[in-house]
Amino acid sequence: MLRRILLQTVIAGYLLVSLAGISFSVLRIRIPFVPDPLFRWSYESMSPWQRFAKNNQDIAIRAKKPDGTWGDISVEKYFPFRRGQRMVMVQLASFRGDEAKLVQYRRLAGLMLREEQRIHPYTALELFAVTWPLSPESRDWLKPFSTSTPLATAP
Amino acid sequence: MAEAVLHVYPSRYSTMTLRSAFAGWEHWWTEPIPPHALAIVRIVTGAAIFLWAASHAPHLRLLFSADGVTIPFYADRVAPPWNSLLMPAPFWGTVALFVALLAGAACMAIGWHMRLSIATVIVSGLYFWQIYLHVFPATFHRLLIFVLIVLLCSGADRTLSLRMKSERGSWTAWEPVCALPQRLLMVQVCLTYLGSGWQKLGLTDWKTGEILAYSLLSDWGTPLARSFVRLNLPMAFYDAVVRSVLFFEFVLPFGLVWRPTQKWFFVLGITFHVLVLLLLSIWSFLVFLVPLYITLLPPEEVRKWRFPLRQPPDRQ
Repeated sequence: MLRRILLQTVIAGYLLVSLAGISFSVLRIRIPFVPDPLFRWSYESMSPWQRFAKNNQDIAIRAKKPDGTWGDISVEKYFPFRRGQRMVMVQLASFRGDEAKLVQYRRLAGLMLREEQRIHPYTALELFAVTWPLSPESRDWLKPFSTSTPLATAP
Repeated sequence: MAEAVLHVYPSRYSTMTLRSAFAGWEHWWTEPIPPHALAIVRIVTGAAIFLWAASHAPHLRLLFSADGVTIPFYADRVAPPWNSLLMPAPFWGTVALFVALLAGAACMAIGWHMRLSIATVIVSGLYFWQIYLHVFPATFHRLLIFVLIVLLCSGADRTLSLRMKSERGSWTAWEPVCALPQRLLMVQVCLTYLGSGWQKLGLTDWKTGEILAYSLLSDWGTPLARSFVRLNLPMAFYDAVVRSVLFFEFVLPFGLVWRPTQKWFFVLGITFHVLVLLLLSIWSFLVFLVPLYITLLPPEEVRKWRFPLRQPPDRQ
């Protein structure tokens, strides 16, 4: 009997959470009494592809050498993923709000500088957000027309 | 008397109908079933996690250890001393946890100490996920954690497993299991498509074909996708494809469940995810969602279809 009650509770709980997810997906109606983490899990596990941009978005890393000149550093080393995944990751999608993102970019720049200094005598490191138009020719076809926005500097 | 019968009979009838409906409901969710479909999900998911995790091996120090570049997501949000559990470990600790993750995934796939191995995969996987550089919680992460939790509570190691080999002397020996885990996976597959399709109907970005055209050109797009865009087809073509995708995702869960159309929709669903892989380099749904289709088949059919080898020596 206890097993029956337990199983029916699991079924009812799962269906309620799923109903909350699907009702919000379809009707934007939030069913009360469903704990937020469970509701979010259900709703977001049905989330469709919603990220599309009309520009390429990437990150650029520059490091300052002891002689005062700046040079580019490979981004692939820190983002060895498919480019689509990298595009989302470099935007620090999990951190909400510009200020929270900038804090994490500063943290990231500091960690990258520490990592680069294991091999090279760099004295500073900068992170930039880079955007440029999409092109059917190739990814980097229109990169000469890119715009850069400073994100963080270390130290 | 006749009036009395007329008054009594409907309520008794409706009570009986309710009881039999509940019995049918309960039977569908909890009847004993062959575990073959669940075992296949366990094997495929375990193997996929193993390969996926192993592909990160070259980046362990740089992306997953305290010596590298990590941003622990939850460590700042949890009070001491518990936050230390969420901080990146030194390199040797990272290697130890990584080996535990790989071993857990391998044991899950071969069905050896399944519960312990899945628990290890969940704990170590979540640890690595939350210190992963700039965590990116995708839909498939949520689906995967759900599958792992369901498998953890299932009897997915009751066939095609080292457990059955050591206990019963045969990999293909089997014992019936409760249907609930398989039903949960089945419903979740349908909800994933249904919710996604319905949400798209209401999203502005999905009103035209722009989302497809630009996505094919974006960093998600493969060289094949870029070649396709260079055909310079009119935007009306992309509009039509997007409308077709919306319709397809809307009918897919029904087509997958309804027996007369099931095989066709299996083919269509797999084709859809293969195209997503070939054009948008997104492999996760093909690897983690498509194998769950097998839970939509009648469990007895899966047993007969794939493994007509041996009856269980004794059923519980």
